[in-house]
Amino acid sequence: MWSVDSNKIPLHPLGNIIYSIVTLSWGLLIRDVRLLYIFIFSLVILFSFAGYFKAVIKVYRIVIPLGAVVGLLAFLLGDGLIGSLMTLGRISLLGFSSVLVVTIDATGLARSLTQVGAPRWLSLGFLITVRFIPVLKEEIQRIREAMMVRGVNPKKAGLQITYRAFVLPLIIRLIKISDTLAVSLETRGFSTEVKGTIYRPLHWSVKDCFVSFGFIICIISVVFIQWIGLF
Amino acid sequence: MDRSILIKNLCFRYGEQRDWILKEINLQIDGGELVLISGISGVGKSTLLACINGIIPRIFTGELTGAILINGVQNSGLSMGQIALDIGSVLQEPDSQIFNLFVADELAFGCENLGISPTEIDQRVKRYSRLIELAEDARIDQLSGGEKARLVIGSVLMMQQGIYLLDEPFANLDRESSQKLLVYLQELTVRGEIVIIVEHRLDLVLPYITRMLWMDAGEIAADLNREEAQARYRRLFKNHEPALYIKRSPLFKLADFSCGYGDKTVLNKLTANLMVMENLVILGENGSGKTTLLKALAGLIRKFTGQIWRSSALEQNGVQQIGYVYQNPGYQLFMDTVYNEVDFQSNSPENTQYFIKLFGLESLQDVHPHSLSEGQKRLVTITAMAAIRPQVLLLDEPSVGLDSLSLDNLIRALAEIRRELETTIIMVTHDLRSAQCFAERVLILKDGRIAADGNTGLLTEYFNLDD
Repeated sequence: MWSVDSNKIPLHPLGNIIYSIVTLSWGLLIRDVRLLYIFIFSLVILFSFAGYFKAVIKVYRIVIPLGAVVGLLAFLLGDGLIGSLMTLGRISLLGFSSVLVVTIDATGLARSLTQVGAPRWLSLGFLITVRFIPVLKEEIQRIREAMMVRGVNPKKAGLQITYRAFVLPLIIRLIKISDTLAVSLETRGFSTEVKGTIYRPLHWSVKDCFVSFGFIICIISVVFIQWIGLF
Repeated sequence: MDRSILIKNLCFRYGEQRDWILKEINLQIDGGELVLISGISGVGKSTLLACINGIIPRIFTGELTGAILINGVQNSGLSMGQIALDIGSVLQEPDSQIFNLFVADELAFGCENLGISPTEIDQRVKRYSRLIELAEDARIDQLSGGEKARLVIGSVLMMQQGIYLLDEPFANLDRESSQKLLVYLQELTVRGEIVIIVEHRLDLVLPYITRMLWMDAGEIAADLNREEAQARYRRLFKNHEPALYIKRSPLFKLADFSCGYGDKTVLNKLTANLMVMENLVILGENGSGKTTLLKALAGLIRKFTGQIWRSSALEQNGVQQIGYVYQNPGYQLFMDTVYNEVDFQSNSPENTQYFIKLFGLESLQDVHPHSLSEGQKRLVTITAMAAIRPQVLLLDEPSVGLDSLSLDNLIRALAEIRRELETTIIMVTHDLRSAQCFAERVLILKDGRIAADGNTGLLTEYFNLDD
């Protein structure tokens, strides 16, 4: 999905989903602002070693300014400095957990779901849904270019023509794509009663072990620090 | 295994439509045959393929009578999944048939569904990625339209079902890739498999076929062997002599022009002058940068290095005088009738009527553009663009989906607007028919650079016409 080459981030997709859910839910339970930032920082370091540095930077370029604005608003509304820093931290946490999801290789996710016994329609549903996002982006880009080429300037053409020139081709293209995709799926043997195989089964690698171990340490440390009341 | 397709008294019509699209089709195709189905647009060629591979009536419904037997078994009692075990289908629009992000995964997809072992899939991925000349680890979102078409063909052939139906598979492919795939398809038929192709580029396919079915108004009007088919083709296609113009000034100047997508460079330090009133045909293998060059000329590429200069004639009163027709015309059509589509930027109703008549669209004036065939949509887009009376018309694969008759009309109309309106026409094509009738200057791109620039003599070399 992202321009980060998912082949170079070979963490297990199911692991990524678990890390993402646990990070978000665990992080939201942290009450101390210093602990929250230590937690986020530790995870950023851990996953940067696993190859996520560029992806984190890319997401944080958007998330940090956004968090700062929301944090400032919180401050102005009377949450105080701690409250606004907490807001910024939680938005950063949300950004970090989204990095883990959006960098998942869709094909790998579909395969790993099949491996754990999920129905094929579910794994393929995931695959098509995730693949559809860049397709939609590309279609919108092409239609915008086509509008320019046909001389439809949204600033001058009026709402009706702009609507027609943008929405109509987009809807027709999307219907056509989903039709062709459905037919292609059937003709390529998706609904055969044969038990499907997995071309490149995904395994839990040494890197996955290292990351999951580090992740568990981070979680336990948070619990321990809160328990002993260090902060 | 003896493969066969037997069709008895097949008739089909969609939903509540009164007219039958297929009428009393009787046909037997045996193992070892490479059959070309041809005919003008809208005569039922794709519908016939859809009946054979079960898409009709299982996904697209309608009234179907008669019987189709695949390898001796009547397909009406089979599910789509069961039919897919015997028949591989390449549909139109390769872009919309791709599920994965990497070439190897896409190639493997069908085989995974058929339960083929991972070791066997791995061997096939290696073999077929060589056949389609794509790296296994290439990202699909960075492939050109033609490369995606090769990928889809490879993905289907890799399933090795034994019967293959290909609907305009070579529409966006360069000649060399198409010929390589045709040789492979021929080899399959030698092994007793069946290949059926629907295609308009007859000059490309005819040397490889064993049989041609000519369809007309939902019926098989002629069942010909290769020699008969070639003789018929020569009669079908008229020769147009492109007019030569000598005195010219530059319209575009490119100097060390480079651009790309993501980290992939598509055009690499391109330097060329494109002249006014020059019938320019741009040729090149898939992924060589032809479409990107057209986009650059149309001003749609914003990130580039080097220089691109456009003549001041290309902008009048702040309005760009460039008409650009996409490979896929669906993006550019948005009005409710063909007339309104052509009229959208036309300067008068008389002008609209002139272009509608010139491109032979009188009978389609009141039809919704999106209800037309792909070839007809392309014709409507070209007409709408021509009606603006631009200084230059950029055409990306204008012949795709056009039968010989429609192509003949298109070339005649383009010749007239060039003569009457002095429009410069720049065309990207893989189609020998259009290149031969149209080219005055030929530019061959390779890996984003100009590999050759010259007159029509280059066509002989590029299309191997000496053979």
